[in-house]
Amino acid sequence: MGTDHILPKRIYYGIFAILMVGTAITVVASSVDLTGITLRILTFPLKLLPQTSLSYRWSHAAAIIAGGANTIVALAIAVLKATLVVLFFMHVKYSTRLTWAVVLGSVFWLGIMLTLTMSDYLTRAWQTFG
Amino acid sequence: MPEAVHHHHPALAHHFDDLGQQSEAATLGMWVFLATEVLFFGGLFLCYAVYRGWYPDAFALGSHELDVTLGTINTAVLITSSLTMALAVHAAQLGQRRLLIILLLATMALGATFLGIKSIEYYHKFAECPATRVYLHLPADNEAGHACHVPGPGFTFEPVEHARHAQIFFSLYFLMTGLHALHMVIGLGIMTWMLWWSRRGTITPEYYSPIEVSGLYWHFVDIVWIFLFPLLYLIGRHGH
Repeated sequence: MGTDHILPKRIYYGIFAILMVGTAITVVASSVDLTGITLRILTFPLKLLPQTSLSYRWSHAAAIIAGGANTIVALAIAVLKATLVVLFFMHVKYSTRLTWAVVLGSVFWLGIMLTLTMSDYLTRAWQTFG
Repeated sequence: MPEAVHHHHPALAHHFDDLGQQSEAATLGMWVFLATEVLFFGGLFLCYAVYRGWYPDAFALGSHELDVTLGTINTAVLITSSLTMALAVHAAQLGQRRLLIILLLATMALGATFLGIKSIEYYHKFAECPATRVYLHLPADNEAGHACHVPGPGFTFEPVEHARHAQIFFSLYFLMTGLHALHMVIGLGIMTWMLWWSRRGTITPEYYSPIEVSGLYWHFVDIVWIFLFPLLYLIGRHGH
């Protein structure tokens, strides 16, 4: 077949190694509290700038983000792992544009479902955050 | 005058120009199916996101009742099965039939190992629960103090104030891992089919789409687990 891309085996071994390391990092990171360090990084700019009403809002938002830091890290690693599987194990990197359109379309529609629904549920208690 | 004999590959279906076009159509068709699967599982992930957003403490406490060691081992087993599957497609591309068969068998063995470990986890949950022990032909009497994490009338959870919401976590746990396991069982069936086709010589370097497309399904099921593992087993472990 003219459109074949036979990848060298070392690519598969390399992706496998990254997936295994990613799994190990996920497990280790889940037992470490990342809230404090994330909060310190996010609020660092406030120490350099003069205190304004914006800094109050910023520190509020930083506290919310930092509270979910462990989940954000776990999901970021999962997304990276999934992307590598799709691109290399599933050969999408070497597929036709039509296949790319379907792959990206499925992620896009998933994004619509998650984003629009959560934009409702996550903002129902908005007054709590002032 | 005899008609010109039209020579073509036996695997080429008459409505395709050539095998290249045929394999591209097969890959595209499989991806359209996988797009529906993304939204199928996506609905459950959305349900999970809404309830975890509402009851983060109950979800974290429920997560602590799952076996992280078995979950981690299963993640490694499944990732390894994705490697053997990718190498199986590689062997098919090169026409290495013996190696292809060995790698398909390895993929199936790893898939079966995953299901075995998963069923040990399920067994523990059902054996612990006084209400479900009877289904496992275990004596009904159980040492006191054992919680029942199987959703249903017998469900119990400590601390009690989180019991109702923890039951939602365990309902999602059994539903999502159960649906994933069903996909694994179907995957094993597909691999058995591919093993048969590889053995009888249907799969050649010119026609390996069936292996490629089966691999797409197998890798997709792996990706679902890549998200299920941290979301079910690893939440809130840092704070307790």
